[in-house]
Formats: sequence, C-alpha cells, structure tokens
Amino acid sequence: MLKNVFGKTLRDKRKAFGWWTLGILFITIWYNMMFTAMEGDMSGINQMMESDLVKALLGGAYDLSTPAGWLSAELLPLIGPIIFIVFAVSFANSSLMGEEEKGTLDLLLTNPINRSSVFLQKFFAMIAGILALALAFWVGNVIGTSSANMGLSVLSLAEVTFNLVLLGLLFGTFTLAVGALTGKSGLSTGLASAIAVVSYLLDSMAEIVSSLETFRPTSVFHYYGGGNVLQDGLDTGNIGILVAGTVALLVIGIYGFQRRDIRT
Amino acid sequence: MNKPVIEVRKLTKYYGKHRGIIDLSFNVMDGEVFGYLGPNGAGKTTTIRTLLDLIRPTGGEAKIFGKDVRLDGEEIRKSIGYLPGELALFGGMTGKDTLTYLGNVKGGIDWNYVRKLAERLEADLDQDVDDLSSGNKQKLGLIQAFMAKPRLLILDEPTNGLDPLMQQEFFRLIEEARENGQTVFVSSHILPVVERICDRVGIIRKGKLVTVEEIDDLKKGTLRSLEIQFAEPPPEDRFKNLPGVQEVDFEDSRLRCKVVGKLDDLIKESARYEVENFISHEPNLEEIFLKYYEGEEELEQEGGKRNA
Repeated sequence: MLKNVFGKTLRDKRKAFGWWTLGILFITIWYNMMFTAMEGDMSGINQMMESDLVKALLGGAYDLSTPAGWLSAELLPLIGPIIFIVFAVSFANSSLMGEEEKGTLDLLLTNPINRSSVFLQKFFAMIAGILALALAFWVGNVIGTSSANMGLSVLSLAEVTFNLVLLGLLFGTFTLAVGALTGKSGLSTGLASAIAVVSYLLDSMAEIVSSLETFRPTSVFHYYGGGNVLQDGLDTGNIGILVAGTVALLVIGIYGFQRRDIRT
Repeated sequence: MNKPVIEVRKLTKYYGKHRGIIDLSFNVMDGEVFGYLGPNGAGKTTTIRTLLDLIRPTGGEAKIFGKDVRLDGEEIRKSIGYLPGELALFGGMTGKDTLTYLGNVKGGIDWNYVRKLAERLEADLDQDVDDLSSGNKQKLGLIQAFMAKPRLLILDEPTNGLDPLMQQEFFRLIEEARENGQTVFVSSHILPVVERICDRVGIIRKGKLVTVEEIDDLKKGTLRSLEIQFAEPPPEDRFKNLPGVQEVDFEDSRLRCKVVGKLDDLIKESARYEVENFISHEPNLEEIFLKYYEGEEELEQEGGKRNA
C-alpha cells in the first residue's frame, strides 16, 4: 500500500472505511427488512404519499406497497445520496486539502513526481473508495431484499448503486477541483455541501411548485433521478451528464493544481 | 567547483502585497556547501520553496543543473534531497512506513544505506511518527533527504531540534557529502552551524541578499562577545587598546568586551593575570550583520534625505 500515492491514500482511509462498510450494511439491510414489517399496513401511508409535502421530500409519489416503490421512497431519494456524497466529499477533502493543510504535501511534491500525477492518483483512490462503498451498499441491499423476499433483481439493485456512484463521484471530484484551485478545505467542502442541499431542494420542490420546473435542469439531483432508476432503469442521457461533469471538474482540478502556490 | 548547480537571477516573490524575496541573484557551485543565513522571516524558506517549484516566483528565474525549476521540475527533483524547515510527517505511520513510502516515490533507493543512516542518527523507526519528539522527527527528515544519495541537498534549518551529539553526526554527514562531491544548500539562522560546515555563505535580510562571502572572510568580521573573570582586577588600560577588541567594560574583576577577528592578542594579555573563568557567548546574528545593516540603513537614510 506504500508503493505509491494511490495506495497510500487508500491506506489512510482503511480504518474509517471499516466503519462505513458496517454502517452501510446495517442501513441497507434494515431498510429492506422494514418493508416486511410494514407490509399489509400500507394503505394509510400510500394516501399520505399523495400529499405535496411528502412528494417534495421524496421527489415523487411511490407505491410503498411494492418493494421497488418502498426502496425508491425510503432509501434512494435522500439516504443513499447522503451516504455517497458525504463519503466522497470527505474522502476528497482529507486526501488532498488535508495533506496540504497538514504540510505533508511539501514532502511529497518535492520528490520526482508531478502535480497532475498526484492529483490523478488521489482521484483514482477516491474512485476505488467509492466503488468499495458501492459494493457494500449493493451487497447489503441484495441480502436485505432476498431475506425479506422482496424479489428485486440483483441487476436493478446494481443499476441503482451505479447511479449513486456517479452522483458521489461528481461531488467528490467537485471537492477535489475546488481544493486544487484554492487549497482551502473549508471552502471546498462547504461549497460541495451547499450545492448538494440546494440541488436536492430544488429538484424535489419542483415536484410541487411548477414555477421551479424551469430551473430543474440546473439541479444535479435532476440527473441523479432518485428512485426512478429502480422503476425505469438507467437513463443514458443522465449518466452522460454526470460523467461529463466529473470529467470537466477533473480537468479544471488538474489545471488549477498545476498553476498555484502550495501553502505552508 | 567550476559550474553552477543553482543559478538564481533576480528572483522575486510577493505574497499579494507581502514581501517574500526581492531581486535575489546568486550561484551555488558544484560540490560546494553553501550556507544561507538570515534571521527568521528573512525569506530563506521562500527561496527554497521557489527552487523546489512549490511556489511560483513573481519575477526572475531559477535554474538547477542548468534547467528551469518551473519547466523541468520533475526531472530536477530526481537529483534533489530536501529537508523542509517545518517538517510535517504523514500521520498514522511509523518511521519505517514513512521511509518506505518516500523511498518508493523517489525510486532507486539503496536500503542498506538507509539502514546505516538510521543507525548513525539513532532514529526510532518503529514508533508512530505522531508520538515522536521533534528531534526524532527531524532525524527522519534528515534520513529521507539523504536516502537517495542526491546530487544536491537542500536543507532548511537542518539542526532544528537535534541534540548536540546528533548535531555532530549531522556535521559528519555533511562532510561525507562534501567528500562525495554532493552539493549542499543549507539555510540556518544559527551562525556557528553555518561557520562549521559551509564554504561560502549568502546572507539574506528582509527578502534581500545582503552579501555572499567566503566563510573565512565572514569569520574575520565576526563580532564575538566575551566575558573573562579574573581573580583580581587587572589594569584596565592594558585591555583598552588591544587590536580588534571593542566595548571594553570592567565590573570589578570581570571584563566584558567584543572582539572582531582573532582572539590571540586578548588571550595573551589575559594570560598574564590569573583567569578564573572564560566565557565565549555564541555570536549574535544581529550583531554579525550589524556592519551590513548599518551600511544599508545609512544609505537608506541618505536616500531619504536626498528625497527630502
């Protein structure tokens, strides 16, 4: 793990990663099990689903008496994105800006290594981290749905997980890029969190406030699609936009990191 | 010693409006041990971080091995060992992990040599670096700087935190580097350290290079504070006109004075009386620079007057 910057970055996260995995397995299995517990008592809740407030919170109305509807409403609109975004943003922040603020970036960059390589290795370490997180998320859901006999396909659960990976990756790369441009960790995490919250609110409020509909395409969550992926499958256009955003931020990050002073 | 390893031309760095370094120009020749002396905040670290391409100059240029530090940084850094002035080590790793990681990033490490270095400096490699004292951290910093046997060593305040015994070992390492033909650029705010190891010294103050001198010439101009305790008060006049002895001050049988250059005359005169104690104070950097400072301030004042 100490062969290069990539391995070292993952190594730094190994303890935190253990806790994340445990937490995710618990949450995913628990949510799936809740479906069986709630089954047969859904009519009241389904009526509630028609209320504007709930639509706004969940980004749409779902039939909670079906397994897909249940997960779409419970896990995918908010809990899933929170998990993946928080993980990616904190990973990005500590791996690059954390190292600069601690001062160890001086020790690393004075070796025969260029800044783009360091930035890219940090980026790929983040991807590896998110993918490992995604595996835990997927396994948890597979265990959960099968033990609750929900009959959701392994493949569609993988699709949903992949969608979350893209969302987390976009926010993580955004954090890396802002950090690379400014060297300020507070700014990059703060900005990433603010955009995530505003994006989420805009997208879900647009469900009930028609005047917001025009602005909906500016929300990242619009391209994430929330629970719809579980019902309708992945949307190639949306995937393309999430990936393109990530690549653009990656390029900006590399450029920004090249040109500025490393802070002491 | 014929060709320059470091060439600095009109190098200038401003942090916004704050002065970093202004119009620095100097050369460090192949195989030389060059001291970079100045008080804290003079711009030593700024110069070094510019040479290593961690920060980018506002003006001027710097070359190492004849290559631009900005354009060929990666190539240049293959042959540089660097010790930061404020050493920060990766957390959650032992000393051994730290050296393994940095060694892998550098590549081409002779691990036997690294082990020897660690033994010589008595470095504790098994403890978590977070638990190490500053002296033990500094040892790790030195090992990683020397580990690749680089052509050029850039050491920022290398004796920070080292106890006297380890300082001696560090001096020996520098001697060996000199014998191996390695070039050393060492910054310090401590004059005896620079005097002990360097061939030439550049003196920097408030971001400007005041002078570059052979170390022997610097020593000639060094102002030393001395204190001699005699058994009985000696005749004061005999000490007042000794060559190089200034600010002679008697307090009963205790003599305080400052000496420029050789101590010979003062010692021989003192030896005629019974000496109980002889104290040589470490030369004060500010005092040593006095001659440069005064010159400069006079100029500044003159300039001011002319403008007025």
